[in-house]
Amino acid sequence: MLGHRGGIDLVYLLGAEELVGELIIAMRPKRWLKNLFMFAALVFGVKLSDPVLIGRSMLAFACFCLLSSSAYLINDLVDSERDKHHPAKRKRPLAAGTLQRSRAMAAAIVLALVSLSVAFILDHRFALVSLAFLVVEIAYSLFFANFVILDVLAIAVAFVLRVMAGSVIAEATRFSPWLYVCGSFLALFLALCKRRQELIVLEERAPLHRKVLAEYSSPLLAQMISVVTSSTVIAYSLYTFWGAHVPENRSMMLTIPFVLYGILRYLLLMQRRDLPGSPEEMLIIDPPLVINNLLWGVAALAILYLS
Amino acid sequence: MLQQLLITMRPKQWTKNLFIFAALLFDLKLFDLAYVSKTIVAFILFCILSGAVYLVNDLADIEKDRQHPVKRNRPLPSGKLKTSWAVSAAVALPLIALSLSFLLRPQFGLVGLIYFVIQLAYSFLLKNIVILDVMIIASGFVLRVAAGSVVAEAGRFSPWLYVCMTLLALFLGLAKRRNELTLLDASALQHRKVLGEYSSQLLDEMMALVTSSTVIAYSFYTFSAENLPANKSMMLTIPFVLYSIFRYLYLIHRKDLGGSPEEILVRDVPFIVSNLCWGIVVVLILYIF
Repeated sequence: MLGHRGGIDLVYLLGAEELVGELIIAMRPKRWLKNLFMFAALVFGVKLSDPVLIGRSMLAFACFCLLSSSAYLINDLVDSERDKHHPAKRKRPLAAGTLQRSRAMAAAIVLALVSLSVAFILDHRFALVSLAFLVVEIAYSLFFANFVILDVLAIAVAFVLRVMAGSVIAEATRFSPWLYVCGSFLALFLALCKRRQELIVLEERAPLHRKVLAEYSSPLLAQMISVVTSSTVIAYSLYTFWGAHVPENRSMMLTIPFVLYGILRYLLLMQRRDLPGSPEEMLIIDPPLVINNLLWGVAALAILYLS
Repeated sequence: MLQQLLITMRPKQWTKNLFIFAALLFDLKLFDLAYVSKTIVAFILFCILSGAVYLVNDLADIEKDRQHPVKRNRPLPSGKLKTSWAVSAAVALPLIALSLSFLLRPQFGLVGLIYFVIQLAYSFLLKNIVILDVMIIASGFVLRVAAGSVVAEAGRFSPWLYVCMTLLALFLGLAKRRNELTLLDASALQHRKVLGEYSSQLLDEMMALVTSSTVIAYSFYTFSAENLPANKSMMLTIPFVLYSIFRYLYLIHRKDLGGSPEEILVRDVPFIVSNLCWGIVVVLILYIF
């Protein structure tokens, strides 16, 4: 009874409910979707039937979510001044001032320490990859984000580290190198599309929001996008007939159209100036894209596990 | 006079002949003195051959170059290098270089001869034919790689590297055309007729095609070539290749970097650093791990 009351007092005193809400917003749970790439090795290594590996992968996924949140907090701490000029980002808790800097800083440190310790208990090599991931994410905020080309490459490296972490945890020995290539090009594609979209929407205000945008131009990005999209399609196609674990009858090739449609649909959406959200949000809110991705997932799973 | 002759032979362009060392590097013979010295000789012979092509080229274009705002300062149009001297050098140098090439290794002599003939055909005819012009430039690179491969007696040189280098060379050729198209004025059109056939949009599309193919061919090389470490560590070099290609695209699109893309190779610091890092990592992976 007393303890209960004391708890309420504490919440009241700290304004904890509000603080936690703002903190969670600043941790950007929506972006955790990116960490789903960690399950790639588990799924494509045909190990989805092993409950131990699934459990470990889930735990690893949680670690990466906390790690990436820690990096987002640091990113927002660094960028809060610039974010104030951005139509959407100025509502972020740190830019808007609804989350105190000291609290964000403390949360970032605690999150990083907790998840790295859990990672270390899980698997030493996984802990190493996690540390590399955190370093890349923080280096991105402080450094790479301001250098043309390096900014998008850092994002791609972070994706590769996610896939690698998943691969270590799932003990995937024959995970196809094509999937690494494919995943990192896909990540590059998303990053480049985002830059292009920002350039189109923000126009001359773009560099205020993201300094490096002054270095890019729409035609340059279009050209880079065509490099990574064709590479993704080719890498995926090669995976479907040469990858490890794909069935002998080449039925995995049936999934190529979904990948092609997904990329083309995404390109089409990026041409629109009135997107109902950020570019990568389209992956979860644009109905044709969502349906396509689900169909791809179902088809890939069915082919890998049933044949 | 000798100095003017040397200028006409464009030593700056000789960096392209470094492609001769590709086979040596990738066939793990970089520390084999016999092959290294042979390849260095081959490199020098190719420099003489390619220099001679420029001599012939400038001799043929002497009248046209006199009307060009920049090119009229070249040794031949300006008269600093006598035509008679240039003609005798243009005949003597290839003869000497080709004979030495056949002595070095008959197959190498053959590649050198093919290279020389194709380059001459380019100067007089093929450079005016759209698409073929850049393909000939690319063939020059492939022949350089092939020449190096013959001299180094490379047995395990991955075919993917040929594909990769051909596409890379096509990319450089297309980039050069695009650069000429955007930077030079109407008088350039007169000078290089074939530019009128290209548009920067068309070149962009062709460049997108060859760059993506380059990236894929290189990726494929990193995990499917025979003499690479089994742990696929060669894949670590992919980001450098990607960075260099993107950086080159960036310089073409965003920076007006002089008339010739070759300058990028020796002037842009991030590009040079990336290429150096690539080279170091490749050597480490191939030779140490």
